[in-house]
Amino acid sequence: MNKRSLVIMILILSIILAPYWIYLPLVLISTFFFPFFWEGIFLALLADTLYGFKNLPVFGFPLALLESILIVIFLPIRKLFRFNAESNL
Amino acid sequence: MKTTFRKNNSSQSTSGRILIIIALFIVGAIVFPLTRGFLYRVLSPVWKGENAFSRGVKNLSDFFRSKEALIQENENLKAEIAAQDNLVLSCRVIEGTKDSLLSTYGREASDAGIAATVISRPPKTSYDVLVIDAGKENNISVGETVSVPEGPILGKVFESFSNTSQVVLFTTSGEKTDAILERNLLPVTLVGKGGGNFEMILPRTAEVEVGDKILSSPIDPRLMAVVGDVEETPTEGFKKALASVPVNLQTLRFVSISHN
Repeated sequence: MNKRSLVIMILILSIILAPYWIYLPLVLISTFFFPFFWEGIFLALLADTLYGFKNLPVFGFPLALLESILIVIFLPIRKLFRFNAESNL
Repeated sequence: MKTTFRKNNSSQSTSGRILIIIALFIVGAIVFPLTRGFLYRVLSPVWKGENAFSRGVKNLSDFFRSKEALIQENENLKAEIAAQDNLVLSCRVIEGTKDSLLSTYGREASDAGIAATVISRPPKTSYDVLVIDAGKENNISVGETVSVPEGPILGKVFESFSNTSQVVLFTTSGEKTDAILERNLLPVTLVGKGGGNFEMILPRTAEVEVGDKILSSPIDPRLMAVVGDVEETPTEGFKKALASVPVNLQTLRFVSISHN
């Protein structure tokens, strides 16, 4: 099991068990540190499905939209950091 | 000298990744709502176990408190219970009078409702949404009022599954609810701000003070909130009152669902 899979499992458990002020920053940090963290969209969808409701903005998935935007924003930003080259190896 | 020029594929790969993200979002937005009932059924025992564990940890902390502190707290609680018993007896008399008045005018008296356990609550969710362990099999249907047993009303059932239901509280951000300010029976509109809080805009001449109660409707009033703060600017023609539900949502264990 590699680091990315382990982190995803931890994030799923934190979404199920922990308060939002724990899992939201963890998802944000993971989105920044892992290259193209597309799994974050599903994690955000899971949080919105469990704890949101249909009448929320963006068809009831505001967190998923925010996560999608962050992934796109972090794509060029990550290239500026040294860990980006190491994580792409 | 041979110079090899690499094709710059970065813009193409970025465009491809953006398309992948959009596709994942659309597919997820279609599929995930269909799984809500299934997820609640699967996670319900996990959340119940987590709640029991949290209560156990809290009880364990009491083990380390001094004997004197526990005795003093016991005495205080006994006195508080005695005072509350008298208040409950008075309320029962008033409730009986209210029910007979309602039946005189052809209105049904309120029933006790169905009790349910709260299995998911803030701050697990950043929205003011509860998940309860009663659903269609318990005759829970969408739109029914949810309240604290013998206490204030909190919200309505938004979605009902076989054994669980989702309750959206009136304090959900952006949710507007009509209510009555007990002082002068002034109609007000409560706007949810999240975290168990409301905001209402009142005319500058309206009388409102900290501690005023906000009720649900004039016919069968139930407590909804208590005014916590009033903000007034002399140059503006209105004032803003902030209110909150008189219940700690983060420790809420049981609710009552009333058939409308």
